[in-house]
Amino acid sequence: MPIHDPEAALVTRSIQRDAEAFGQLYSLYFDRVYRYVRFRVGNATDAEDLTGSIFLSAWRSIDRFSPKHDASFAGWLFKLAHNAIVDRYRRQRESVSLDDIGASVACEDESPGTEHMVEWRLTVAELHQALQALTAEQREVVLLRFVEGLSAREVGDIMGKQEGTVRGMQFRAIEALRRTLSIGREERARDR
Amino acid sequence: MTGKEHLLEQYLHALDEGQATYIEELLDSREDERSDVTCDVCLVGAIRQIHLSEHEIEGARERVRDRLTHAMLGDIVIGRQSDAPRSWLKWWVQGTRNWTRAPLGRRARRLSRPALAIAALFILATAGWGASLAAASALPGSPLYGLKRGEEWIQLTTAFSDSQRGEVLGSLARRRLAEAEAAAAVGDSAEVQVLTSELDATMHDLIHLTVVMKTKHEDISGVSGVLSQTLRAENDALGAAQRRGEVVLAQSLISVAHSQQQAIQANALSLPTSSVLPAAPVMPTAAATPTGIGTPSVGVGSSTQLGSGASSGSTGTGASSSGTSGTTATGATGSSGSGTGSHQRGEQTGSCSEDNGSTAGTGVGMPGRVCAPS
Repeated sequence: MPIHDPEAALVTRSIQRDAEAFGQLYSLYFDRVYRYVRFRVGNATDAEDLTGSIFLSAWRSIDRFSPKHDASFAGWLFKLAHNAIVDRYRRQRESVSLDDIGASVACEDESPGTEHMVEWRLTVAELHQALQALTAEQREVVLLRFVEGLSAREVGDIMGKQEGTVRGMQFRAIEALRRTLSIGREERARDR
Repeated sequence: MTGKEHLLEQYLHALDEGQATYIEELLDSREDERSDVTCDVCLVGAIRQIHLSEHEIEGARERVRDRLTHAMLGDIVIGRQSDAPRSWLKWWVQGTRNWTRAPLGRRARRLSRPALAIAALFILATAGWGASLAAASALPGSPLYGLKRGEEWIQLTTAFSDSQRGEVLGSLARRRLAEAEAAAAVGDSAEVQVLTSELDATMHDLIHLTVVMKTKHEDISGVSGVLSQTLRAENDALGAAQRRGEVVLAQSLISVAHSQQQAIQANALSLPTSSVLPAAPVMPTAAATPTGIGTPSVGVGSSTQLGSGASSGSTGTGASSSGTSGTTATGATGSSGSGTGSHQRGEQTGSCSEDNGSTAGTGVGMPGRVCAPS
């Protein structure tokens, strides 16, 4: 996904230590980064801590971002986010498998508009639950690829995987999600 | 890649490109695989619509921003940023907010890095009431001045509402005014100009904040009270500067008053009755020959017009204007004695002519109009 010009200008200015430009990047990307982290770590407090450290890290190291070598600024930023999450759990919870990350995702958003989705008519809670049935990597692919809209190449850069591998993972993840959701629905239908 | 995977990939690509209608065409063209793929496609569509509540995101954005600004200040202290503090404050107020400019940014850039680092370290290490108290009256050049500015920055960044932010901005404006007066007292003209420029920027932030609050239908009684109070403080300072013959300060304050007045009028702000300004103190005049040197009223929505100025052959500076028109009458004439007269626009008679501010005698005047008595 190419960097749009205004964004490229902001990135360039940020590399030159223009804090105002970085502030605008913060405004542009906060929601996406926070959402990604929030889905990964499961609670708002940890998500805020991590998101803050990700942006601080971005500010400190933005001169290492290279439009030539990095697929996109979004990809670069999400890579920082990915690494921050992995580091956090590696440091603090050595005994916990990465597969456990996100197991406690709270489903607070039941507002209108989010619970009635096309055809599937998914509730956020349903989707949250289904995501937990995926492996950590599949979940990450789903979040980055579908929720955040990054390309397969960008996701591959972030996760250190080949683009083709990411594509394979995304299909398997979708199948697994569909299976889980279908089973869930059948069970609920039986209960009624 | 199977046909189904290929189709899903095409769908995802179309999504990336924002070609929503293309999806339906795509599915129609693949009737044989439609039911199976539609299921996946719609599932992906559903996932893409997932979002957290605005309330949660909004709160998190504010809190993380506050933490970041503090962390960036910490970076400055430990010297992690090689060119800090180039625009750390500007980052906060301009980059992440739409409504305000950075009143302190210029000053922050002017501070030497070690001075700011020491001051910020002082804040972080002690955060003591005593240190803050001592710094409150610090002037530019003082070792505690950086602390004072850092403390102000924290006040601004931690303001929890627009009203409180308005109070902080008013307080900062009055501080800059007091500092400008102190600089004028020791004849530091350059510092006076910098400080009045910062005063002006802060006042414009305050005006803009008031406008934004008004637009959002928030209660602006508090912030407009702060605004009018600060305008009066400016006016008082102008009168005092004229009495003391502090030409640079007087000129600067006249300039900022005009600028603020225009901003207030342009935004159709009406201030509380307390903003009807008292007349600036009248300086004793010597055989007053009104030469029409006065100050602009900084009142808004008020018919009160103020004027004080040099007269009767003095070295004087000033500008006379109405509180609403902004017309300036400036100049100094005569060759001996000193004194300042005041007039109100309505009382003024005589003819006016354009003048470049440097007229006969030893007068030092601002460009404008010289009004001679009839």
